[in-house]
Amino acid sequence: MPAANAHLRNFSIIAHIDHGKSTLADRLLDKTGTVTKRESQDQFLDNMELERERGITIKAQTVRMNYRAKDGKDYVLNLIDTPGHVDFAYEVSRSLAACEGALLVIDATQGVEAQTLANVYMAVEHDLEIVPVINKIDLPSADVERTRAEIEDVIGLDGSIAVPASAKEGIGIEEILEAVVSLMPPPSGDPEGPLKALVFDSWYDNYRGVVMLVRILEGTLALKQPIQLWSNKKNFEVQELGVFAPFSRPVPKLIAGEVGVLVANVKELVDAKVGDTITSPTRPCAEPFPGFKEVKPMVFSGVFPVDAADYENLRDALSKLRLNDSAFTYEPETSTALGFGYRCGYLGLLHMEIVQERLEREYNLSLITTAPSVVYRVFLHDKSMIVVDNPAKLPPVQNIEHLEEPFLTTNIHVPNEYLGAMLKLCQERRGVQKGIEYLGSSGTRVKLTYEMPLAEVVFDFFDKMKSLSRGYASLDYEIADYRPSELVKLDILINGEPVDALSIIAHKDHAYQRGRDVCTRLKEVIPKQMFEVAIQAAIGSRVISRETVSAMRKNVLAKCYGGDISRKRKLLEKQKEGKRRMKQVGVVELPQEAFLAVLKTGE
Amino acid sequence: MDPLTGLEAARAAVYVHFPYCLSKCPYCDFASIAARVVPQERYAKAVLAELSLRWPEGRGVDAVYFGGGTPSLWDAAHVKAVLQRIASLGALAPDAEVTLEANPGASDEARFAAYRAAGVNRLSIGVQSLDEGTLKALGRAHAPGDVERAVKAARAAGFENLSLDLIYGVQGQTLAQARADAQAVVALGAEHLSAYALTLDKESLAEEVPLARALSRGEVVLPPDEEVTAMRQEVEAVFAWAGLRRYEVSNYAKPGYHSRHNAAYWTGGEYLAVGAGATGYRKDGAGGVRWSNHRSADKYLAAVEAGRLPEGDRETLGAEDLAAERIAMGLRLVNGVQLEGALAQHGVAAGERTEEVARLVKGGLLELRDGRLALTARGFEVHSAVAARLM
Repeated sequence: MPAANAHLRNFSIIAHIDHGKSTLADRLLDKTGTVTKRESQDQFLDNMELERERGITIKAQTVRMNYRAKDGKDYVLNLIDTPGHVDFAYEVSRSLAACEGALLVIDATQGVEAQTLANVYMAVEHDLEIVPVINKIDLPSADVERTRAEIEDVIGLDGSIAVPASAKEGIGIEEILEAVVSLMPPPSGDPEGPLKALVFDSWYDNYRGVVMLVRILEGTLALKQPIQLWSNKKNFEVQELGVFAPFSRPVPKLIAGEVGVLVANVKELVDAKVGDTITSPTRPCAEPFPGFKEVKPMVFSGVFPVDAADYENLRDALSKLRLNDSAFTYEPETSTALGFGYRCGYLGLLHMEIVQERLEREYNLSLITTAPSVVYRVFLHDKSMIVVDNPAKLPPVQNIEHLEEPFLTTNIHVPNEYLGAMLKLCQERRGVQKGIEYLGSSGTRVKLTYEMPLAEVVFDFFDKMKSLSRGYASLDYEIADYRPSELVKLDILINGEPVDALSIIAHKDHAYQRGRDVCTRLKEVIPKQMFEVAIQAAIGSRVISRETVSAMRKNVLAKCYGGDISRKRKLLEKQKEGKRRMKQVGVVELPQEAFLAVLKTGE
Repeated sequence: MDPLTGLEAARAAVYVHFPYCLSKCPYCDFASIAARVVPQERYAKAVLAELSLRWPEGRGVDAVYFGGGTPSLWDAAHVKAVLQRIASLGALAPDAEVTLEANPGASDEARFAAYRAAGVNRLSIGVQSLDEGTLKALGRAHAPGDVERAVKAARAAGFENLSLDLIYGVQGQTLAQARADAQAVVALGAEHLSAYALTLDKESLAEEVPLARALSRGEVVLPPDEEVTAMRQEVEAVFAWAGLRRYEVSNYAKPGYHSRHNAAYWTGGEYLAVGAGATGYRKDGAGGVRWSNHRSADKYLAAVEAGRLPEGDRETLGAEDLAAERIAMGLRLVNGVQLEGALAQHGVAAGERTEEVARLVKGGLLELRDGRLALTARGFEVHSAVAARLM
């Protein structure tokens, strides 16, 4: 195929969390001379501080490498890095859709880990050519042949093409690059055809406005060209085109098969949705790239400044964050316990943690986050329906005819040996089994399909699933529909006063246990105070559980004369400072952790 | 009389610190040094020199306190010289309270009589305990019998105002032992008693002490808070039976015998301080200044002998600081303190305090007694937590 894009390869790297994805990416950049020693900093792709610390990728990244292969020809390799968490499954799918191949990195000392499987299957669904890389072969405990066998048995890929390597030691890097060139197909697509490009990531840049990462599927994108976004039919003009090599470098055009950066005077991130198709207003393509979804927040929580004086700062921080993260939403919320704050929406729990951490770190805010909630549909006796994303806002029970909650269709991949534990967990979480399928030649792996309430998945399901399967189970899910459920509002009372920010909505069969768990946990996190603190869980007016934090017995300095007075005053000032980081509910001071106590319970 | 607390308190006091001891007690965080030979003369000269360096013009004094260390190791001639110097510099009121701390081990009638003749009219004897086991746990050198001898000697020497110190909440001490100790100390018939819970937490101490290190290493275990609180209640009950009423967190007295000198600390009074490690305070416009001398006796002596003020630390206090101190210290008193008066005295607004007071009153920790804000019995046990809310 003497096509214009025969020299192109677009690929991503799929790996378990510490199996060496970022290190391998760094070696590929070294080997192809993309990053000079001077520029090199470890884990080049993860350039957000938070990503570095968590060792995960939040936003997609791309980098363009030039490589002269052993066949003597020059190739352009685009490495498209993908996020690695179920909260960002949609973003992963769009990034993979921009590739023709994927490197699957497997730790030769650990073997195949289930977390990677969901992404592997997604890659298979996108018809990607997968080249396994057996990494860390320099370690004494590496077992290359066993890993090869696992690739065949567990994943069902051809193990013979797997490349043994050590990203850390730079072993096998050239072989990997050769495999990319020889085994992965070049992109198809006609540079002369009508424009069709996929937006697989977008973000807000303070100087340039919205920046999009695009994969050209058909046609050519050139400077000054008018473009149209399929979903909203809005027209823009191409102002900048570029590639990352590894820093952004301008190019005059991007042809079918190429990957690059597009800036087109788009002012708002909502106009550059991930998964949308870009075409030409004058010569549009026949249909958009399939699979576009409007990403909607599925989980909501209250975010309140610890110090009420930070409210304005929080608002500014949220608006700046939103510029960069269109999946995240916020609107004002008032709580009797926590004062003025915002109700924020997230894709999932990791997304929520990331947003909270960014707010605290990048904007230097001290925050209280309330337990996450899903969106409930509340049907009232007067036949009207309201949507509630905050348990505190649930109407009085006598007005409610019935409640509906969102259900997911979940797929869980799990090794056979953990099947029993997984079935039990799914059942505990009110899952309805829809399918059970044994996979792989030896049937050692099982795919479970369950319909499960989102609220149950949000409530530490992921952590439980991982711990019950020693990390081997993987999960992907999509929203199925809303279904009626027997739900009740569980209130938490501190010294007899209900604390709105601690209310949760729970299934009636679980409410007692949840109530007990929350009370126990609150008892652990509420420090002793001058007063006895009574913690109660109640459904309506019925108290179902109670714990007591006994009052502090003794907190007085016995000896206080001339030389002690200054020290004493400073001690008291410190004590007062500590109080500032607490939220006062009646006479009781609650620490930040108390408001998340409803999230984590049990062991 | 301090109008805000209703307590008779010295308005200008002098504190003289004498750092030398025969041995160091493992719980003591006062500036002290174990010395085989005490530099009697040299230290006296230094204190006299410092008095002259520091003395504010036209200042009258209504209380003097010799603390330590072990000031009863200082020969009466030097104590007399110091009192004479104070009298010559300002006006030492004829009815001034002049206290000297004495160690029960190193005391005899002649020595006490000499102090009495020098002008000392109140002795504070560091009894700590009358139980052999508790004294040993506290690392004290004296025996229970020494205490009785010391009290007799003091009475024979003409002291009509005696104060005794007791420590409770000591490792290994039971509630019954603490009660027995309180009964034994009451039987000695002193006019004033101080009872301190053994305090070893680092944040409350001026310096790290050996017993605190032993505690952090787990070699020493103190009775739990509940137990210590119960001990204090026992002590209070025993003292009250003998007619000594609690007037401050740790102090008890027969009517009219509370310490005027110490009352200055709790009522925002001024105190001039001399000697190693001594802390003094004087008003300065709307604010104040608090200074501390070098804790090391050698450093102290060297500075004074070179004609310099021997200060290790100096702190400027603003109106907010002083108001906070006035409230926190005032709440240590059973009389309590007039909150509005304390704030008005320093021109500080009530702010959130009004709301806080209402909550604390509702919670049974504070009450209004004779127009003053005062801690309830329960509130006294958690004085720090209450005071922190009203800072």
